[in-house]
Amino acid sequence: PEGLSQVEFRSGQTMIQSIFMMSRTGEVLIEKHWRGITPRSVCDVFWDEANRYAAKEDAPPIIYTSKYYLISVFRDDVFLIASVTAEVPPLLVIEFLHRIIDIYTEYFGSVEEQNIKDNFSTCYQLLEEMMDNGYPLTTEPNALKAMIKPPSVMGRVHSYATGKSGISDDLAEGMVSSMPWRKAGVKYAQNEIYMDIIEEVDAIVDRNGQMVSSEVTGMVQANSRLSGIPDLTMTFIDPDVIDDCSFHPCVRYNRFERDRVVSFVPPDGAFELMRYRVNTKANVSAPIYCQSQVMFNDSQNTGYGRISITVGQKPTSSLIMPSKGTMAIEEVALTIPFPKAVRTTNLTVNVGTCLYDEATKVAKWTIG
Amino acid sequence: MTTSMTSSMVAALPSSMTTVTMSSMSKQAAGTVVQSEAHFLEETMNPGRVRQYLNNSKDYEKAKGMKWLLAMMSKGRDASEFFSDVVKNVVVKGVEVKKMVYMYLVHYADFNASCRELALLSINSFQKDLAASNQLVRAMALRVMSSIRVPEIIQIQLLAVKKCANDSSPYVRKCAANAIPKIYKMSPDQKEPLEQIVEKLLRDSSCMVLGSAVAAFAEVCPDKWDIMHRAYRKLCHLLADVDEWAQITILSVLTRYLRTQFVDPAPAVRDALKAQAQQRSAAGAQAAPKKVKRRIVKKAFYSDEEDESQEEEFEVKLPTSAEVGSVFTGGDQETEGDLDPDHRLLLRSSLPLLKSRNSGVVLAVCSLHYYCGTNSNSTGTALGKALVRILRNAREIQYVVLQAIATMATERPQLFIPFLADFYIKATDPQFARSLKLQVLTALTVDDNVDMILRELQTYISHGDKDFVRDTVRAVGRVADAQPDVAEKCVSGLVALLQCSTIDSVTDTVVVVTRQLIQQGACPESLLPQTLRLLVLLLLESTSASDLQAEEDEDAEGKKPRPPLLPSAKASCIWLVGEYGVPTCAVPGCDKIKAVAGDVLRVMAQTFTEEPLEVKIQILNLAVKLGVARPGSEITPLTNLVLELSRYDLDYDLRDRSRFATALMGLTSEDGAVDNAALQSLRQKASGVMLGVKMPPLTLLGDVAVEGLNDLTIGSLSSMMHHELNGYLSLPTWPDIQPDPAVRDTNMEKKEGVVGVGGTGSDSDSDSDASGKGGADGFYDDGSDSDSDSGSDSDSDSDSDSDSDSGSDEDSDEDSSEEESDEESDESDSGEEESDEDSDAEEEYNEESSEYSSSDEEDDGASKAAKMAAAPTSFSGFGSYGMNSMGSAAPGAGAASIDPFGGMDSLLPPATGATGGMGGAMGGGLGDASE
Repeated sequence: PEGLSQVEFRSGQTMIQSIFMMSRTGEVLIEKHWRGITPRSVCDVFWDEANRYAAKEDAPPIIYTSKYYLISVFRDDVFLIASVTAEVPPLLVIEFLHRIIDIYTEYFGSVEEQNIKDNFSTCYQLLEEMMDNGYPLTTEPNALKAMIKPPSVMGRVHSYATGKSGISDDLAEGMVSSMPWRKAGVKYAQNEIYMDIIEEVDAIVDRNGQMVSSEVTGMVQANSRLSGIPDLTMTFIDPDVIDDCSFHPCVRYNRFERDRVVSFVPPDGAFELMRYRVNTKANVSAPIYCQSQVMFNDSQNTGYGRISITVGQKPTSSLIMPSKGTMAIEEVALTIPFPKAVRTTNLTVNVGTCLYDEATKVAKWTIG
Repeated sequence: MTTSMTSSMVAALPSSMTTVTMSSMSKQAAGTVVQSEAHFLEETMNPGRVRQYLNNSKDYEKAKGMKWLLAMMSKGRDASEFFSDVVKNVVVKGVEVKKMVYMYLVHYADFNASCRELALLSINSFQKDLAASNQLVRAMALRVMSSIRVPEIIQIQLLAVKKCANDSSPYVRKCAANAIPKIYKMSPDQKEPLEQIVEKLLRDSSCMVLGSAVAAFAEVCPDKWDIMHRAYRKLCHLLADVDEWAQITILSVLTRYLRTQFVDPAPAVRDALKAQAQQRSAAGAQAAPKKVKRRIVKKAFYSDEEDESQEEEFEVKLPTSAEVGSVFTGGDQETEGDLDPDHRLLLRSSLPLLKSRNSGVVLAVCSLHYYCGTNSNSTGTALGKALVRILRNAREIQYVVLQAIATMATERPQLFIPFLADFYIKATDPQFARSLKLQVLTALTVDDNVDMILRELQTYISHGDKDFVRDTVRAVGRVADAQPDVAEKCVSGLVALLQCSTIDSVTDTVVVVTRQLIQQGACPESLLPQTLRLLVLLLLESTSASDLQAEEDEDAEGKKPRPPLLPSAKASCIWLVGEYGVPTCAVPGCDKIKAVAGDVLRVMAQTFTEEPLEVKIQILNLAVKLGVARPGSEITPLTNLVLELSRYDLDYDLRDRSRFATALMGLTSEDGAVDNAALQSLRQKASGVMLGVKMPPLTLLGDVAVEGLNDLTIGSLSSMMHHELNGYLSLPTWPDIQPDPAVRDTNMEKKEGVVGVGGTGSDSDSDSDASGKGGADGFYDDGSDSDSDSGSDSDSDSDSDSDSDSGSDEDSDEDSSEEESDEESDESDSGEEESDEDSDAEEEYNEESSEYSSSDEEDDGASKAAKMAAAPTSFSGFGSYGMNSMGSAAPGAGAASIDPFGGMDSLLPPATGATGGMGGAMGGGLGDASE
């Protein structure tokens, strides 16, 4: 039961107060505050919490300290931690943190500690543009790149020689357009767009080699190098294969609902056009099979056991195309976790290499 | 154990475009050697040198100095001593230095008193920047000035925000909207003027501004719905066009708006679902009679009419996956028919956002439909599908989404039952994902899939992570509880596990879960005797009483000695003996245990002093129960012994308990005056108290739904943390009576508005132009358009004012017919082809908000098509999307579109000429027209 006066002072959700970036070793690389300073000590709290888990990524992404809620993201060996003090849509924060890493990756190639240190002022500039008062401001790579040029060798030499910086002093035109994702005035001598379709099969196989469940997901990654404002349409031979999908904001959702056609004005450069789940009527069988046999005979109390694992290829045809020849299978790798009680292993393989990590008790067999 | 495999394959692109492999894009990674900035972080700083840099006249020297300071901030050192040197640099022209100076200022402005004082020196420079012609500079000045947390300048900040809220650039207006909460936080007494600015910004027509305006609304005045009414329809129409972050905010605000402005679209269903969820969780609670009751509620839930229909549908089963959703109220149409058109508008316009790449948007849409939707089948399936899709994502996102699904699944398992296999645990799942998935799996248990789920759970039992195995055991217990049909299987499985498990913590959990099942009456009668026997055996085995140990050892010869039971398991076993071993126990199959109960007490009494508290309490319990049930037998001395022992125990709780129990037995340890009559009457009641039928405990399936627990909105941080955070706004309950829907009609404003609009009132389309362009004018001047018109501030002020007015005016024109024509045209559109193509193209653009603004001259005759034609010439149209354009887009597909395209012919040639080969932008329809 709230009194009238209470209602009067009710204030709603807030946003991110501060963001910290932390290396895998716990060193704070970046800190930036939007709504007042969050003391650095929260990072220690976070670090203690993360260290309580065997693998740091096992730590729950949302931690509650006495005053702050820490929402963290772990990717590519860095932690990004956002501190908030009040209600906020958690997914907004998490998605935004991931977006920061996406942008950094696009700018610096990767978010390795050294890369961040080498470009830390650009990192700050980017954060400054990406967020205002804890609320996402400009997050489209095209718009950001128009404002802050990605570092390059030439750029650095140039800026060193002339004293000019890579920071644009005007707002990118595209940014305030109805297509914030595309920058204006793009020109290429050769107009081309590249598309990669990457599909993944996730399957659970029980101990007898029976498929328990499997799902196929895919994504379309594009790299657009087209001048002007190209309006593209992508049609599918069999749209029914797509069970459910998500799109880059440049795609017209309604058009897809209606015609099952992906119609879009692409951003410039590399981007992920769509992700989809494939409608698999039956379980898709994985292209390889893996059989294991565990023998553990402890009648003499020797404590020795034996496992043998066989991996082989299964003839499978692609979902989309009927089988024309077998698919070449490359880069097969197998991860074998051993129980913590295992003291040592002696592993031999007849193909590829096998590495056993004493600390985590995990063997990785790379077949190639 | 389960294994997960990932393989990838590259397939050809099924489109008309050429497919080439992607070129490597990471070329920058290679050569960052030249002048890396790392040395700022690694070397020690020389304060004197930094001051020199800062005071140098060259920008790049200044930049160097600022980088040193940034590096210090990065390392968590205090760099405030340089404040005075930095403040001087606010006047610098170079943007790079300026930005770094700003960052520094915001960080240290309220660091200490001298900083605050010095910060005031910078205000003049900001005010100058606020009048700059470059919108980026204006926005930056506003952002920084409003971020300086110095109370002395609040009035100046407020003025700046007011001014910028009228700026011609939507970017600056957006920053003004963002600045509102900053000022509000610093000084809540400015609420009133701030609300006015929010109200004004809500009238804005730019997609860019609206998101921030709604965010400001949510923070400053989240309950002031009267300023939201006018914006509501516009927000619905523009939902797909605002950026993804704004979508999340708008959806969450509008979810609450719906809850206050409309009536519950499916009241009966919601209550029934809730009731059902509660019943499911309490399932098996009262054995037989309970089951009947539960069925009744299920019935109520399946039938539309709810209530009253219990008897006839007695046999109804839970739905199979095929008929998923049919559970919900019959048919979408009927329910939707009753909906207020505005309510439906939001539901409809939000649905496409399920395809967003941003999981936050997807969850916000789901939450909206979950709380405010009609529960129709089709929507339900779409929601489930989308949630399951975003589940395959980064682990952090998985965490939040799984949590949300776990909550939803408790109340509406039907949403997710078709996707059961997606919740199977993978070898690579992190710990939190595993336990959440278990929760989901148990919530999804229905007759049809219970076997599958049990088989899956069986696999998990052999997992290496003990905690996970224990969770699994608990999950099995919940499944058995919710599905009496499989209880037998579950219990025998648990018993089997009990016999072979060598991990004490697992055994412990199994015992506790089994005890709970027996207690809930979920254990089938056929299994009860042997289960009880086994538990008692375990108990005795693990008790150090040597004589019995030996005896039992003979029984269990050849077996490996089991680890002793943990206290909680032991306590559970003793409790069972006390409950089922008393002669008055009516449950069949307890004869054996009745026979040994006395002996168990004897053994336990011997070891009493060595047991942990938890066990002692249960021994005391057992002693009293047996003592009450078998007065005057060989038990009495044992009971008295235990009472004595506990009375002198170290633990105060146990001592107190002992005193209560002593009194209950009609005994007393006190000397002197004792009310013997009272003791005797107590003694007579004792068997009623100790041996009566007790309510079984409830097993919860989830966090919500059960009465007495907080019902936190799905997808909120509060729901993740299981408590209400600051600023958490609970969902209002639906009003009983529909509030006046006319508040969203803007007729009232129309009368006032028309006057202000001036010449544009004649044609509705041109109005929308004006609204689209009001803001554009100023912006274009900075930009590429050759139009030379220096959008002075006074100019733009009036512009945007009339802007909003005309917008609303426009709105009211269309409102009346909007709803109906919207759908109609949609349909007819897809039906026709050739003839409609032009308008089709147009519509598409409207959908995408690609209202490319044109320049001033076109304003008079202007139609949307004209603007589109002009678009490629200066594709810097801004995000504004005439308030009306969406509304009229649909009607435009019909007759209205003919007119605009007439006008287009004359405008097209220059447009195509200017753009050369880029005409593709206009899509098929317009491309044709240009030829």
